[in-house]
Amino acid sequence: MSEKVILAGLGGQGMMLLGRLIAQAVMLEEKNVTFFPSYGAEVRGGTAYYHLTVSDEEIFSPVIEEADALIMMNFPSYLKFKDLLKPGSMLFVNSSMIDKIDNEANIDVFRIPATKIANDIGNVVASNMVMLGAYNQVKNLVSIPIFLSCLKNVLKGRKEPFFEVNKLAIERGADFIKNF
Amino acid sequence: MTKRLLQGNQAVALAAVKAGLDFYAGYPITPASEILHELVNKKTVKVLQMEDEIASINAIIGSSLAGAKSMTATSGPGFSLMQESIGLAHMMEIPLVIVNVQRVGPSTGMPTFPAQGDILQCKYGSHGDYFPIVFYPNSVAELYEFTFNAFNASEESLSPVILLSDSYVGHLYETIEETDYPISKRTLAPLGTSNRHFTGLTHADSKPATSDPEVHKNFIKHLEAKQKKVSKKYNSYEYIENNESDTLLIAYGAMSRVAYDFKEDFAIYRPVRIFPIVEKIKTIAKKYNKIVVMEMNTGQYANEVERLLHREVKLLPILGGKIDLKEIASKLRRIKKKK
Repeated sequence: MSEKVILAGLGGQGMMLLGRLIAQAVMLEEKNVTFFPSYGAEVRGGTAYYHLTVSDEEIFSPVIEEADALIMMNFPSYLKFKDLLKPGSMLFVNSSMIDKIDNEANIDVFRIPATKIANDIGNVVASNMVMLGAYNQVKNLVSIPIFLSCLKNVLKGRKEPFFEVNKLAIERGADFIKNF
Repeated sequence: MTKRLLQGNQAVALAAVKAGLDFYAGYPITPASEILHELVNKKTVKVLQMEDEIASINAIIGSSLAGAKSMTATSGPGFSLMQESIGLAHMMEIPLVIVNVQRVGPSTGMPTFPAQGDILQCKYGSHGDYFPIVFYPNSVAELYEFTFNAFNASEESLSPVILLSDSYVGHLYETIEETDYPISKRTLAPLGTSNRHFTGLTHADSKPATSDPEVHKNFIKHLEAKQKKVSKKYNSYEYIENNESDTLLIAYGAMSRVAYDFKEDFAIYRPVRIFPIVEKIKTIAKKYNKIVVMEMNTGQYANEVERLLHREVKLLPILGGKIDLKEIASKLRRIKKKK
């Protein structure tokens, strides 16, 4: 088993947190994982992208040249990474912010209105979790209960009230794929 | 043993605490800032944010003299500022750990992009003759382990040890096993416990001796012998033999992670203790017709290897912080084809 995913979006869209939590969850399932962040000097509003590799084997270079999946939160990210798709890859786009996608044969495209779904359940910040729900419904990479326990660890104290909306966001993302 | 997902910089901070770090002084700089951020929250470590890197290194020299295990972390620009006092620490024989998370230079360069441009600065950056021990791990787990080694080697050699990293390994998240490695004890008597004079001047028996060349010659000999002896304990390298290949690919740190992808076509050698150079390379190199050094600078380590082996070494510089496997593969193919 080996899965190479690139997560990308605007700084602030939660790709860093999402990637780190996925990495933590798969680590707890005894898989090898590398999570390689790249970001510009700016934080909020800049481009932020993350290379996540999960494998049963030892992982050498954490830099991804051909992705099994892309999780793209905004249009500039999609433009930057679309060339790393290969036949059989899957493309998950936040269709609330990405409307134009190239017609490519041999690539499964999932258009998820993540920002809208997150907004509808009351917290636009949870769009990253909507994407996770959708992605995982297709790929089944992480165990959601383990993922949620990792999330709970992060959302401690002041942030604890946000746990439920994140959990709901994951469910809504998964539901969206079920009805796709 | 607990498994944890950590960033390279966090692993350094965690291992430093476990290795007995008492005092940290530093000035924030991308991509090394996370080490400062992590340590601020540790209850067992006193942390001071100084006004710059010169103050930082001098603060840890002072605290180390007073008996505290001390560390600082920086990147290229800060490391340059520290050079004078690194020489002072060698002269006064002060155990320190200096972490350098490299970024693209010269000067401010590209703060968030990785490079390996401080290789020679580690060895020759300060004036005069000194023989630093330098480690350069290539994974988060190894950064964790070699932080212990850096502290131990610094205590055993009574010298500043440099732990190199780069913004690639420093920012990478990977899994580590939270092992407790053995820790070497402090042998330097703390300040105030004996009648000593600490000075950057050439000295004998704690007294300045600035007009006797013999004293200086002996002192340099003593430094060299001491560093050689201690570094023997840390003969760390990795060698992946390849009997099908006539070419040895040498890479370290971030670039070695990329090099592994070419192990079908090349034999691979990765020094972890990059200075003093592990002598094993001499015997390994004999097996191969061609030697290629792939590094993120214009040949700093290649020149050192060439000088040691007395034979031509081909160079593959990767500049500007971008790691493009396809481009590297085609360049390596070209080198392999050439006679």
